[in-house]
Amino acid sequence: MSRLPLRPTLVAVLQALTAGARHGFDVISATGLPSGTVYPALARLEHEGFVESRWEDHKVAQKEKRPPRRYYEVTRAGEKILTAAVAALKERERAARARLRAFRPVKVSR
Amino acid sequence: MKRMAVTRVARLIVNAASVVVPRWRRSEWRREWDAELWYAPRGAVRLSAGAVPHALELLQQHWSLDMVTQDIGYGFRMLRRSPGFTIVAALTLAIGIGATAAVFSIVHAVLWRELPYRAAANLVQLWETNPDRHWTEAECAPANFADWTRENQSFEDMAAYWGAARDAWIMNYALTGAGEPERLKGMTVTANFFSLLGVQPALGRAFVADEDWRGKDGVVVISDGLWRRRFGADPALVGRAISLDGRPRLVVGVLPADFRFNNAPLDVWVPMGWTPESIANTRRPHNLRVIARLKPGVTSAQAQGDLDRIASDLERRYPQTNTHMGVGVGPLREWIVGPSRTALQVFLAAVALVLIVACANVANLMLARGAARARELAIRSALGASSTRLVRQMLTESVLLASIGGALGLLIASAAIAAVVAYGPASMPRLHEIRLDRAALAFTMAITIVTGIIFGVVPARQSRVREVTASLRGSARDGGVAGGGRLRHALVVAELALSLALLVGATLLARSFVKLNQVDLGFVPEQTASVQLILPRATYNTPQRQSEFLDRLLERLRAIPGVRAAGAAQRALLDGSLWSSDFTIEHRAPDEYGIEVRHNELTPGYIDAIGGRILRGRDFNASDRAGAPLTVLVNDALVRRYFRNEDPIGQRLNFDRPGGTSPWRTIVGVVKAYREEGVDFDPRPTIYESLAVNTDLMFTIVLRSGGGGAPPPVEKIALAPTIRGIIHELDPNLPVAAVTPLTARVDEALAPHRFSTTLMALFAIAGVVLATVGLYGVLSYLAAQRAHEIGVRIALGATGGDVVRLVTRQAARLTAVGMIGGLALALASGRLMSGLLFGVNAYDPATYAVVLALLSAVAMCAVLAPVRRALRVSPLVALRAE
Repeated sequence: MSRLPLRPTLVAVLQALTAGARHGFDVISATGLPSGTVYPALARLEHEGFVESRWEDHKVAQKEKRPPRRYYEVTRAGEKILTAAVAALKERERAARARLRAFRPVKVSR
Repeated sequence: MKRMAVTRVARLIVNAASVVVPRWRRSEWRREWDAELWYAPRGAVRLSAGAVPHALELLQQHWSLDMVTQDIGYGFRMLRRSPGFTIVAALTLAIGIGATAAVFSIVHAVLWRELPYRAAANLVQLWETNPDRHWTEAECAPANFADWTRENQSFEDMAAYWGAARDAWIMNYALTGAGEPERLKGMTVTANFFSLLGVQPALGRAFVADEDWRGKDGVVVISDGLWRRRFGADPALVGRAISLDGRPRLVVGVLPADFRFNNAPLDVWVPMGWTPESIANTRRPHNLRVIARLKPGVTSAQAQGDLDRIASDLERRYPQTNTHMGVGVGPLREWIVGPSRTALQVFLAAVALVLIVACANVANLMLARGAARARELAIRSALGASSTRLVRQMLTESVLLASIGGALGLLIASAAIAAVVAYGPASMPRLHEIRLDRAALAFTMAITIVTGIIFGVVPARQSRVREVTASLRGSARDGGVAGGGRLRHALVVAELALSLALLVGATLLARSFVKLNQVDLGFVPEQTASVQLILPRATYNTPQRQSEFLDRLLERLRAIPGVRAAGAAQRALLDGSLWSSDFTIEHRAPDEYGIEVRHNELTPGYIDAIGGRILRGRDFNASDRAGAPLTVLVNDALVRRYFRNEDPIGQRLNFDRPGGTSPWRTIVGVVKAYREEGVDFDPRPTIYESLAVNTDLMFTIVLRSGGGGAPPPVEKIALAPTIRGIIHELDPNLPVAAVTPLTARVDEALAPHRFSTTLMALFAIAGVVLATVGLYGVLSYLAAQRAHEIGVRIALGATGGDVVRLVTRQAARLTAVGMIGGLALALASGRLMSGLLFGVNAYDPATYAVVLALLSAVAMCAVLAPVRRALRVSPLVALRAE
C-alpha cells in the first residue's frame, strides 16, 4: 500500500481550515478531534509550511473586549498536499472496496 | 465562581506546559492559549489538556534533527582538531567502559542469568544438615531420598546424582573397545535427571524410569563432544553398545552440544542401577546430590516446611541413623554460583571504581580544555548562541567522545571476555556461558551515554557561567575558571580516594595469594609425577586382583631409574573432600567418640612419594594386607585433637560409634598432616587405611624422582612415556589419564585465587595510573596558571625552595584529602573483601601503610614535572606576559 502524503488527522485539520475554521477551537468543533491532537497538528502543519498563522488585529479584539486570537490559514503548499492526500485516501478507499467485493466467505460444511 | 476555578486550573496546566516551550516562542504561545481559553470557558480544562502535547511538539521542532547533526559534525571537528586530547580521553574511557562491560558480562552470565534449563527458576537443590556433625550442605542417603520423593507435596519431581562431596560429583569411566582406551568423565544420575531439567537429547532419548534399576541399567547417554570426537558423529551409534569400565552399555541418546551441568565438560551419563532393597534401607552413607523442581506457586519456604515435616518423621522412625538429620533447600542457581558470589561482587565494585576514576579523569581533561576553549565559546555566545545551545554542544561532544570510548571499550570487553573464557579458572561456574550478549550490549550503551553525560555535564555547566567579556579579552589567567579550579581539585581528590581503595583491595589479595603460596602444604609437589587409574570392574572383579595389579605396577614403577619412591592413594591430592565417618577409640568413656573424621587409603611408599613425613611409628608395609591384623595410620591433627597426652601408637580404633560392629584397627604410625583437601584450609583429623586391605578400582599413583644431590626433576626426564609404557604392558586395555606433576594440581587449586588477584591488580593499576595522570594534569595546569605569580615572586627574591613549596603544598593537600577519603572507603569495603582473603586481615595495617606509601610516592612523581617547570619560570617572561 502506498504511503499517505499526510496523516489522516492532519488531513482532517487541513480540511477544517479550508472549510472556514480559523483557529484551534474552531478546528476542534469542526472535526471533533481532541485538543491534544489538534494543537500539535496545527504546530506541525505550520512547521512543515502547509499552514500560516497571523495574529488578529488587536484593535478589533480590543473593541470587542477580548484577547486577540491566532488565526491559521492554509498555504498554497497546504492546498496542494491536501488535494494529493485526499486523492490518496480515496484511492485507498477504492482499493479497500475492491478487496471487499472480491472477498467471498468460505462455506464450512459440517 | 466555579467558572473562575475552572479557568484557574486550565491556566495552571498551560503555565506548567509553557516551561517546555522553547523560550523564543514562549510568549507567543502563551498569548495563543490565553485567547483559546478565553473563548472556551466551559471546556477550558479539557481544552487546556491539549497544551501539553502542543508544547512538546514545539520542543521537538526546536530540537530538530538538523540541529543535532550540526552539533555532532561540529563535535567531530573539535575532537579532530585536538587529537592528543581525543586519543587520551577516548582511551581512558575505553578502558573504563571496556572493563565494566566485561565484568558486567561475567556477573550477568554467572550470577544473574537463569540457568539454561526449562523454567529454571523453579529448580532447587536439596541437601541434608546435621548440627551434630557440622553438616551444613551434606549429601543425602539413598533411602532418605526415596522417602523425600514419596512423601513430599511441594515438588513436581526430584532427581539425584551421585556425589561424594560438594565438588566430587564427577565420576570417571574407562571407555574401551575400538581404539585407544580413554578415560571419560561423567555423572551417575537417576533416570528422571534430564526430564527434570527439561533437556531433550538431540538424538535418541533420555533414560526411562525403569532404567534406574539394576539389570535394566545397561544404558548410557553421551555428550555431543564424545559423539563427534570418538564416534565421528555417527547417527547409527544410538542403539549400539559401548564398553564403559568393561561393561557394555547401550547408547540411548546424544545430548545437545550446549548442554552442561554446572561448568563441567562431561562425556557420559549412566543410571543409578539401584536395587529396591538398596534404596529402601541405605540411610548411610550419604552419597547423593538431589535436585528438584518446585510445583508452580510453591515457594522455597513452603517446600522447606514440607521437607522439615518429612525429616522429623524420619528422625522418629530411624533414630539410629536420622537423629538431628535435617533438610535444606535452596535455588539450584545459588547452589552452583554461590561460591563465586563474593569474588564477582568485589570485581563489580572494583570495576565501577575504575569507571568512576576514568570519568573523573576525562571530566578533568574536559575542564582543562574548556578553559582553553573559553574564547571560542565566548565568540559563539557573542554571535548569538544561547547558553542552552552551548551546553547542548558540550554535552554532544562528551557523549560523542564517550561513544568513541564505548566502541573501543566494546572491543576491549570482547577480548577480555574471550580471555576469561579461555583462561579463567575451571572452577568458576558457568564459565562457558559468558559472552557479550544483548543485555551486556545494552548495558554498555547505557553506561556509555551516562558516562558521557556525567563527565560532560560539569564542564558544560562551567561553560555557561563564563563572563563573555573577560574571555574575549583573552588573558591566560582570566581564561581559567575560578570555580573550575575547585571542581578540578575535587575530581582529583575523588580519583585518588577511589584508586587508594582499589590499591588496598589489590594489595590485600596479592598478600593473601603470597600467603597461599607460602603455606606449608605438608607435602612437596616438586619432582613428582602423578597419574590416575581406573580399573575396569569386569576384569578386576575381586579385591585380590585389584591389589595384585597395584603391587606389580608399583614394583615396576619403583624400578625406573631415577625414581626414589612410588605409591598410590585412593583419593588424589587436592581432588575435593575425602569421605568421612564417626570413629571410636578403644577403652574410652562409652559416650566418647569422634565425628567427621576423614578417610583415605594408601599404599606403602605413598607418604614418601608425596614428600610427607611419618612422625612416629612406621609406614604401611607388605604385611599390611588382607587377612593380616588391621592397621591404620593417623595424622597429627587427629592425635592433637583426640590423644592429648597419650601415645597413639598401638592404640586401637574403629569406624563407628561406641557399640558399633566395625572391627578394631591398630594405629601403627602418625603422619604429619598435609593439605590434601584444599590449599586454603587446614588439614582435618584423618585416618589412613592400607589400600591393599580396602582396595578400590580407582586410585592415583604418585612417583618421586631423585635421590640426594641435585636430581633432575621428574617432569624433565620424560617419565610420562615410561609410565604409560609400563601400564600398557601390564594391561593394554587400561586407559591412562595425563601424567602430571603434583605442582600442576597445586597450580590448579590456586587458579581462582590467581585469577582474582590478577584481575584486581589490573583494576588497581588502571585506577592508579589514571589518578596519577589526573593529579599531574591538575598540578601542571596550576603551575602554568600561576607562572606569572611565581615569576613575580622570584623577581621579588623568592628562592627555589619557596617555589617548590608553593607547588607541592597544593599537591600534598590534594593527596592528603584523597587519601583520607580512600582510607574510609577501603575500610568500609573490608567486610566484603574479607570473604576473599586467606591469612590476611582485611584491615591489615601493614597493607594500608604500604599502599599509602606507594600512593604518596606516585603522587610525588606527578608533582615533579610541574615543579621543574615552575622553577624554570623566568621572572622576565612572567612580567612581560602582563
